[in-house]
Order: sequence, then C-alpha cells, then structure tokens
Amino acid sequence: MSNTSGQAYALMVMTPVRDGEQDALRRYLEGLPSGARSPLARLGGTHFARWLVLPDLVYQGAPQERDSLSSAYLIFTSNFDGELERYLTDLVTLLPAEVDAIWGRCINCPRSEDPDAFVGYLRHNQIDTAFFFCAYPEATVDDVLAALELRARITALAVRAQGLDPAALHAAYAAEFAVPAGSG
Amino acid sequence: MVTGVVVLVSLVPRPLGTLPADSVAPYRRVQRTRATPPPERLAVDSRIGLHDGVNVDGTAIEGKATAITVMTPVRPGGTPLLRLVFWAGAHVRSLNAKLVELSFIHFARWVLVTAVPYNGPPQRRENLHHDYLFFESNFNGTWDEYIDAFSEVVPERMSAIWGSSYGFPGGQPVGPFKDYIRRNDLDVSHYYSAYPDATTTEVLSALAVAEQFRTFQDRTAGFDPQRFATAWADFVAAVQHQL
Repeated sequence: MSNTSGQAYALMVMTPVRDGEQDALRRYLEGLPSGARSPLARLGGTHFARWLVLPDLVYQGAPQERDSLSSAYLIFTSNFDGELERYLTDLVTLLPAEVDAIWGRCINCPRSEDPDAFVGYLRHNQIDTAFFFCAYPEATVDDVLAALELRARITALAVRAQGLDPAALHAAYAAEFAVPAGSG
Repeated sequence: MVTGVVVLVSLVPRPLGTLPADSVAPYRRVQRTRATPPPERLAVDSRIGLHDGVNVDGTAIEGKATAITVMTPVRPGGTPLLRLVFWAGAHVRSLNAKLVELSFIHFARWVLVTAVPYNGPPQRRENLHHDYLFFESNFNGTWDEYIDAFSEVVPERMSAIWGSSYGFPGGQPVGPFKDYIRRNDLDVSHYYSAYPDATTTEVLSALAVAEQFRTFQDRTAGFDPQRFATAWADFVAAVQHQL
C-alpha cells in the first residue's frame, strides 16, 4: 500500500448510498458551487478532490462474469497535505452541513455532531492506494499558491525593470519585496 | 513510498520583452466549466450499449485541470501481479519517472479494490466475482491529449497495468485504447482544484523559481545598487525559461 508520497496523502473512501437517495445525492453534489466557493476550498491542504456516485460496475462482456452492486456507492478521493486523522477531523469540523448532506445519505453514517464517530466511519470505509504519483510531493497547497504568486511578482518586476538604471531597479525590488535598502 | 523526482520541462527561452500578457497577470481562479462531450464519445457509448446509470455524459473540468476516473474488473490472478507492478514502479522508479516525463499530471493513483467495505445492515454485502482496478488522474490538457500521451509514451506500462483487466485492447493503437478508457470513465459529480489555472509545468517552475529566489534574496541582502543590478540580471537569466 502506498497512501503517501512525500508529505502528500491519497485518500479514497467508498460508502454505500441508502436506497432511494442516489439521485438526490448526485443532484446535491452537482449543485455545489465550484472553484473558490467549493466547500472543499474551506478544507485547507486539499490539492485536488472529487466526489462521484457509482451506480454500478461497468460490464466488459464475456468472458468476464457480470458483477452488480447491491447499492450505489459514494466515492470520495482527495489528494491533500499531511496526516489523515487531522484532515478527516477538519472535514467534519469545517464542513458539518455538507458532511451531513453528503454522507448523511450513506448507510449507517454518523452525523457531524459526533466527529469521532464520523471519522471512524470514513476510516472504516477507506480503501488503500496501491500506487500514488505526485509531481511535487513535498509541496503543500500553501507552498504551491505562494510560489505561483511569487513567480508572477518576479515576472512582473523583471518586465518592468528592463531599462531601469541600477538605483531605480534596486528601489523597485526593495519596494516590491519589502527588503531594506542596500547599505552600499 | 514513492520518492518524487522533479524534472523541469525546459521551455524555449525567450526574451522577457515578449512575455505573454497573462504570464504577468496575478494568479486567479476561474469558474468551473462543464465540458460538452465530444460527439464521437456519444457515438462510442451508444454503440457499446452501457447499462443504465453508468456515467458517460461528460468530463469534469476545473480551470485547466481535468479529472479522469476509471474502474475496471481484474482477471483472476491479476491482483498479485498488479501489486508487483506497482511495487516495482515505486521502488525501481521507472513508472514514477515515466509519469514525471509526461509532465502534465499533478496527481494520479491506482487502487486495487479487493473488497467493498461493509457497515452492517441495511447494507447488503457485496460478493463480487472480480477485484477492481480504480484509477484517477488530475491533469492539465484535454482528455484526448492525455490518452494520446499515455498511449505514445508508456504503452508497455499501460499494458502491464491494464493488461490484467477484462476488455483491455492494448495501449496501442490509440483508438481502441481510447474507446476502452472512455467506456469505463466514471462521471464525477463534483471536482475541486486549489489552483485550477496552473498547469503541472507551471507549478513545478514556480516552485523552482521560488526556491532560487530565496537563495537570491539571502545572497543579495546588503548589496549596493550596482552589485545588485548585476546579480539581478544573472538571476533573471537563470530563471527566465521558468517565468
């Protein structure tokens, strides 16, 4: 098993959806706001994550024996920073309404009012990863965002600085990056 | 545990004066768009006649990031072989190195689902004939480009991984391989990225630039303007292709 790569963690949780709730669950998930307004944006350290509802397994034709699921399953996967326990606790603490609206439609899932029980439920339904690839396993979400922002500022300064004399360049750099002026 | 190898894709150096306008724009998020499925995909799906409910109606996209999620039945005896392939991939690092080489994958994973977790009644126990290979990827670019690259760069590895799944036609030619992945690509109901506008290459470049910049800052603290200007020119030249 290989749930980690560097400081990154690959989580997969597969939970049974209560009969009759599958469509409502899918509609709820599809209706969630996206991007910075996604509930997952409030869950710090989440690089990429997804929810999907698996109604059944795809049949490949003979000679495969057909498999059918007894219920639909909710699959949640996340690629996040750091420890699993802390992440799951943050999930139930920071997103209680969404947790209840989503996993509340799953069989025997505890409500968010009992965070320990909820975390235990997710861990019980966790499936280990066999191979986890990250292009930048040591970089946290904050590291990535900070680096992207810093690079944009450096690029902007590099463009602006073309043609400046050394004193003006140094002043522009000091202003942009808030460093004390050179002692000369 | 996989040890990450950071390989920066070398872009063609260009004079700073020709930087595209958006490369200096502040980093920002954009709203998710739902991709319209290409017509060929619908044609493929209807021909295959999937049973109800198995999704095939679209691709989850968030900014520049695309989600792919595939789950396929493994032939008897395939699971131990796959564990060996993944173990070798992690320890020999060939798989990891190849994925780095592809350069547009942020995060990807393979999971062997050998049992469906049971939570007591009213859940009914699942007694499946097969183990299932679950694959997810978070990448930039289009779905078609992604599968093309997999097929071209790592066809033998694709065969080593999906060869034990029923219905796998081989990593090449790409047509049947695409049909296979498309047929098994699951519908994602909600997809999130913390930095949807950044490609994998941009993230790697930014991390590298940030690291070099910290060194530059430390080294130039206290420089007079003349010395600083020389150091700045050297720094910009060194990181120019990553800006």
